[in-house]
Amino acid sequence: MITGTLLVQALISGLLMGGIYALVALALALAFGVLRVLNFAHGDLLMVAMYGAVVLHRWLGLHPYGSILVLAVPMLLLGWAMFVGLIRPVQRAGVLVQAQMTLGVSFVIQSAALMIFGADLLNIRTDLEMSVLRVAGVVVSIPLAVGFAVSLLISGILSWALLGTDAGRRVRATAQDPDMARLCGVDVERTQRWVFALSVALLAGVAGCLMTFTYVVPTAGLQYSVLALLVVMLGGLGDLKGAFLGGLLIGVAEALAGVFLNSAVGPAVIYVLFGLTLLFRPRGLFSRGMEA
Amino acid sequence: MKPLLQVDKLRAGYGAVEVLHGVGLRVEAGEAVAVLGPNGAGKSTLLRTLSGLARAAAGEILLDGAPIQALPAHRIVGAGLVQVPEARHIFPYLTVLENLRVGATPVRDPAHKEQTLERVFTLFPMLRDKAKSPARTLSGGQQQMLAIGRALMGRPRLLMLDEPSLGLAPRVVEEVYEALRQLRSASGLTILLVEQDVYQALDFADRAYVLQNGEFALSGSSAELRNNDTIRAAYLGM
Repeated sequence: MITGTLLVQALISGLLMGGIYALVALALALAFGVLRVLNFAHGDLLMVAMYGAVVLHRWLGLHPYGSILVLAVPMLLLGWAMFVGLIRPVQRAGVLVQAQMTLGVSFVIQSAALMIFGADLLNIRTDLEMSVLRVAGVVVSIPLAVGFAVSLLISGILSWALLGTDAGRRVRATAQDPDMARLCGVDVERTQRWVFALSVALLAGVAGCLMTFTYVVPTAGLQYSVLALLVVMLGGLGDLKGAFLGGLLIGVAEALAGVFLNSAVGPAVIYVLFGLTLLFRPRGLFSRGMEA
Repeated sequence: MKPLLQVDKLRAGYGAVEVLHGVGLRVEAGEAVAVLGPNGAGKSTLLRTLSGLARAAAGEILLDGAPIQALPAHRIVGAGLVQVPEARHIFPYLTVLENLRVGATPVRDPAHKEQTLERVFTLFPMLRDKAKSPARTLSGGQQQMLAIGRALMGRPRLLMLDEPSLGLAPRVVEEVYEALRQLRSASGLTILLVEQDVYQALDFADRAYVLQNGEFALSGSSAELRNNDTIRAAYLGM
């Protein structure tokens, strides 16, 4: 029996989870918009930060939220190195070569995680984990709510930087017309390097939030990559607003599917939604496509 | 005195296809020089190569005596060689003001940026009125003025224009050239112009080169070229 409360419950949980998905997708969409390279290792890089949070907790007893700030810098450097060493050399190659490169990175990270941490599921026990907030019969998980708030905050800062600063204007100009950006004096390669590094660093924020209520296994990366790709395609490739809304939508759809059908069907519903979008709105739900 | 821009034996193209077979030209400070020629003659390739978007296979490009052919495109803009490309290429999803601000990328001093912005707004008052509008909502003529304004924001020493009249109504073409004339008389800006509209180009420029099949077939003052039989027959339809 599906009650109104249950529905509201699912909507709220879905929306909160969707906010976190939205940040993962936003980072992917930003990198794609500016580099025109789709990073299939995006979720695996998120997983690196999740393992990082686990290690920091085991070694130093650091709370996952604290690990966000500690991990942001190494993640930035990792993104920087990946761009210079692996992405940049294939930027002028075909789409397939680029896909092979980032898929290769994904496999390497996955195997490395398996070698270092084993196949066991790792999590971080915090006081927060089981804490909830009850409002009028609706139960809201506090770690989920904090994760939503942190994601929203980071997304907000990001969009302020893109819309309100000179550097942000150069990033958007580069996404819209890289050659013209060059003719305006923008160092396009440097812009791309920074944007890619930033898109990886943002994942530290997501990882810190996720590790307060979920676990990490070596295949988690793939799961998040697929999710982020779906969201980004749903919103329209390179469209940041679309990616954000797409993230919220996927979160809600997943939660509702869990209520109306059962939780095993949740992921399937996401794929159906995705298929329908590609069929009827191939440039994304909001049909803005590449505008970034 | 050194010319502001000197190009010697320049060869360039796309991949294995050579488009320019050794061209040479010079532009003195304060001059307006036109490059004329039919479609496919290599006019746009010439400007793309000067801007560093295409690489010179051989030859030399000197800006104020310093070689620039090995510099990346954004550094060439920083050195003062700024191009308004064919078809304008405004950033469609940025506002008019944002387009202009991106154009000011090579300028470091914020006071200089604001001063240049004021000059651009004075030259094209329409841009001030539309400052907050997305650039894609402008008409073709307004977009051309935005493209020129954006290039001016980079404080060029030499402004290169690729087909500024392309796709514009005759009345609008007049407006664009009127603005360029004002610019020359007010600030003595040096201009290198690529144009298919030979009437306009010869009317505007002091001198012109005629590019054919990747080589300069003719050059001379605008008055000479206007009376040249080949030009009259091939381009002016007389």
